[in-house]
Amino acid sequence: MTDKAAEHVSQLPSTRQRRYSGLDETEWGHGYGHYRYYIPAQDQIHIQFPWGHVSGTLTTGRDSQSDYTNAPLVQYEEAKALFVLAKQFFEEKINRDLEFEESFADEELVLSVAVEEQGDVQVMDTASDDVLQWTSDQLASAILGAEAEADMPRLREMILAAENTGFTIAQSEKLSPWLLSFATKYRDKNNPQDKAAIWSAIRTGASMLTPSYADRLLPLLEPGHSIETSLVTVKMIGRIFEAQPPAEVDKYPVLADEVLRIAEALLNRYAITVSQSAAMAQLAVYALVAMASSKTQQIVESVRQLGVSWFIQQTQRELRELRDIWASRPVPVAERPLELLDRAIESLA
Amino acid sequence: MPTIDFTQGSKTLSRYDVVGERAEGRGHFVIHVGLLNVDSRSVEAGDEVNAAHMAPPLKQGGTIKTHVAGYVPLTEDEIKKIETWIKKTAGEYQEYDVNTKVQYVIDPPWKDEHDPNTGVRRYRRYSCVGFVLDAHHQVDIELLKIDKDALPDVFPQIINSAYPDVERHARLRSYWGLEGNGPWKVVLGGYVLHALNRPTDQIRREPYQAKKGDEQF
Repeated sequence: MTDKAAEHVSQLPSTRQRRYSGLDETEWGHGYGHYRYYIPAQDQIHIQFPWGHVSGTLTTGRDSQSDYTNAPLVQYEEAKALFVLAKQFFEEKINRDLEFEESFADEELVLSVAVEEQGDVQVMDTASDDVLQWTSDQLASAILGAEAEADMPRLREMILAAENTGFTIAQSEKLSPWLLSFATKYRDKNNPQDKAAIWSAIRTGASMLTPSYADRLLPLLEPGHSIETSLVTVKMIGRIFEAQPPAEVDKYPVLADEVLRIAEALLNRYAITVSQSAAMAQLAVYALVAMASSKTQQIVESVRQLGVSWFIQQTQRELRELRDIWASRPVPVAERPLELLDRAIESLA
Repeated sequence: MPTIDFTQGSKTLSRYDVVGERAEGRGHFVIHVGLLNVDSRSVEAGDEVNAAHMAPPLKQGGTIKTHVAGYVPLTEDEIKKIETWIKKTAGEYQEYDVNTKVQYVIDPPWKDEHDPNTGVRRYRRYSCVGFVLDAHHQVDIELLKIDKDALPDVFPQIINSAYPDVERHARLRSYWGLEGNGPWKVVLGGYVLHALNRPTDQIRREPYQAKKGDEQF
């Protein structure tokens, strides 16, 4: 919520149960929302709000500037008519305030999409303007819709919202290729606003992949494009195999070759002085080991040959973390990938 | 005692020293912490310094109004490790005007978010303190004991001081890990400064156990 909105809201009444003081409760009628009214005599009316009291003796004159107290009395029916007008006025005001308060409540629910687990169906007849409140169904349909790319700011919002949404397997199967294709298509557009959406699309799209579909990330590894895009992609490859370790060595040779090419290009003392290249090189080594490539030992030897202590130690530390992640799995990791990992850790010690 | 409150004047800080901001009008309550993100600079109380910090979102070049600071003298190798780690982490966040609060978490100080079907990690959420702790963890410096048994109770009024948003947004509070009415065992910014207010060898040897009142520094 913006500061301005917060300030406005702080001036609004609470929607909690109101407490009034004064006349006996039975003598008051209750109006819509938050006020009550009392007509003590034919010519008088009191309207009381929790934050103030409006009252007066009504006159026959319709001039609102009149001094009511000295004016001739009006008939009850006229007083009633005036009351209706006053009531309409206040109801309109209250409705406006309530609408604002509800919009604030919407902001309070900004995170509802993230909080709700997958399959928690939020019944909505029509889609709210705020994509963060959409159900996974609404979000998936909108992203996959033919018109999605016509409104890029909206699409960017939807992609970012998707990262915090749990989708069903069926939805993921459609969304993942779409998100990865979006990232491939827009990675060179150089629009800073697209960057966030592109990285998010890669993370979300890749996280939906099982290892057998991990080669769908290959187009995002092609050289000649933004290094950030490749960095996020290589990181996600490592994460796919960290979550679903391979059953055997060299099961993903095409993907491994691409990652190996990146690692080899960056594993030199010049490249790793740039922190971004060093980060990418480490992520590539991690991905290769995690997918149990038979080139693991070769690449680990390249790391060792660099002779850069901080780089070697950090790479080893990350492989130890991979070992911990695999060790914490309820289903044991296959013997050969684990052996490969252990040998890599040992070589870097 | 490598901590500084600048009462004796300006001090020179180095890359990845911890900088802290005190809450205005709340005495010594430390409301925010981050890592200085320049090689070296002279800092006076109240200076806005370039910092890597979890705002949210994670900012590599944001500013923090610095009232207190602390450090473990880091080696060149350790600085390189943290720098590379920040580069790897930064790609998981966006400086975008939508959804940044989703990147934050109070309890635990960091938490991984996964795809519900595949279990693949999507990104890591941090509190501002969590980000500083994890940076030091990358170089095998454990600044604080963060297991629940080791942390003091934190009552709602303190949480509301540190995180004004959670007082207004019940769902946000829950999403950030604070269930029920408290007290909670959460890590606060002041704890990091107390952790750094010890001899360097002790900082490197053992994590600090925070105690009641450490939210102030």
